[in-house]
Amino acid sequence: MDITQTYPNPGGHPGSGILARLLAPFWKEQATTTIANSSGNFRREAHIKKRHDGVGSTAEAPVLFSLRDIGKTFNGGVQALRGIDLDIREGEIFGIIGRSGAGKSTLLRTLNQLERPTEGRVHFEGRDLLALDAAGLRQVQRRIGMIFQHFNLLSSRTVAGNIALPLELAGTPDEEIKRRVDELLDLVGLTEQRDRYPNQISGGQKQRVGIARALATEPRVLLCDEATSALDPETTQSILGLLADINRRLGLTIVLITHQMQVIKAVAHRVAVLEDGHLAELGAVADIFTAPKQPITRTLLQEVIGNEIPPGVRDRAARLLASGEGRIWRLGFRGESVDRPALTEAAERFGLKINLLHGYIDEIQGTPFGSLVVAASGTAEAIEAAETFIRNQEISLEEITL
Amino acid sequence: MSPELLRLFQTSLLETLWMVGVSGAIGTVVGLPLGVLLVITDHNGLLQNRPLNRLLGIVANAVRSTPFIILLVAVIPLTRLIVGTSIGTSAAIVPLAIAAIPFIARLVETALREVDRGLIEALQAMGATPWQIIRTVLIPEALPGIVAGLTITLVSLIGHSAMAGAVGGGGLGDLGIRYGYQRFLPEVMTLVVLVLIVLVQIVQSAGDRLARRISHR
Repeated sequence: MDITQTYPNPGGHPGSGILARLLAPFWKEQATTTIANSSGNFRREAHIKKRHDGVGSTAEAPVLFSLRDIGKTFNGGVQALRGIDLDIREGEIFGIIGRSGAGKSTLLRTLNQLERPTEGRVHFEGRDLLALDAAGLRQVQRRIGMIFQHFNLLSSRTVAGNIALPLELAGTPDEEIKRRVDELLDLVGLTEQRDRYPNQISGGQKQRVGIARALATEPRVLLCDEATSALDPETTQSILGLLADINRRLGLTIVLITHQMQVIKAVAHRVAVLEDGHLAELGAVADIFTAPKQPITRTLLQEVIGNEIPPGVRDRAARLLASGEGRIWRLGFRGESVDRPALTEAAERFGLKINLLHGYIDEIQGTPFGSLVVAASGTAEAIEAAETFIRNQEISLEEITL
Repeated sequence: MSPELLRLFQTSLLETLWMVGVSGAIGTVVGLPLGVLLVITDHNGLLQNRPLNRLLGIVANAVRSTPFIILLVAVIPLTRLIVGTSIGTSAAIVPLAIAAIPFIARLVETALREVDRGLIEALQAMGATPWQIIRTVLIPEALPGIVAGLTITLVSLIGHSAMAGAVGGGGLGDLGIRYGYQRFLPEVMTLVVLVLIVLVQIVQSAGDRLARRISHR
């Protein structure tokens, strides 16, 4: 029997690559993987690819990066990082946010050892990166792709030449390089630009080349260093869309740093908030957005959700409070509670007057969330009872004092 | 102008081209790696080595600060050792090359420093070895600058080669001094200067064009 007949797609022909996996229907992907593995093209373990739903499935996924008590003090004595503990799991999009100088760039670079931490341990796939020798580290680095704010493409090479670079460095045979480059060009939608030089293409296209180049060696994880900060809002959306797509379809873990909450909101599953080199807050994006605990997080959230009560509204509320009756509440909604008419019901049931001061409703990865600031006036007992009632509706209630 | 003088002109031009070409080639072959070494051994370089860096820098500066006419006679023992004689065109090539090496090294160093550090970081993130970074990023990215530097070197070598007459090296400059100045033939002097002007123009514009062609910035 002819062995090759068993495999519809033998010998590493273009159909077995990333593109095929992207185009292949979701449920057939397992089969594609088996074929690809049999032809020796894909080292990636099958279990990663089975998980495509992205959101929510990451909590139980194996840990990819484990950081323990990371500290970094530069030669000049500047302490960039201190006491950072983090686990980044396979298949998640992990965001790191902070102001400039918070240490996020340094933290990202400890993941692929472009920066060596001065304290603590970094484990990748269970291996201690700080214990590796130079050659061992280079092997590991090929499994960690990286893209940059300013793209860092070689001006002396064409688009195709740039994408081929990491494969050339790894000593991949020419034919294989050509095949992979074609596949990757297709993946990022730049087939027509293949022979252009970086100075002949737009910023968004440059970042697509960066992504294709980073994916060339089929890494386990993609590190994004402010990848959209140099792009206009529209291009940012398309690059973020591409990243989310790659994450979903290839199960590729993505770690991104940004100073824009917008970026976190658009793609990240979990987020770490950095402040002055330490970890201020860490959690699922939906949790951080709906219930930020640290002042720094609230400040950063300002950019997207305007949590702060506008001054005019604040004055009105202050007058209301000064008149002696009523309270100011901040109500937090999330998920189904957004659709509940709890406030109206509370007003009717306890005879309160509710005055809407400020509010918004938004969505993170399909989960609606919102916040309302209201002035409630009525008898003290009625207000107490209404507070209990509202809290029982899975709505967070916080009394604001001005 | 007499036919003998014309032949002399031809010979001198070829001598100049020969001296400049060979010393330029030697200067490039030795100076380019030295320029790379100056960059990678520097502080925060790929292969940081401060003592070596400082030594190279001092030697390069020492050679460059020696006036060429002094260098020409100072290296005569070395010239005799290498070429077997201290007079003639080949003998002039030795000091010319010695002057060209640190000159090229410094120009290459400047061109390499212009390469964006982000590119080096990108390559390091890919797990590239220092040698791979030099070969695939540093030199290709700095090539337009290196070509511009070599053009400057060739032009200044043409100038320096005029002094080669001091060791009987011949060439256009020597012709100008001996015939134009010492024998009072102003037309020879004029012609020498004109030919040198044309030569420099050709070298400079060819260098500029090549640098532009390979630059994709």
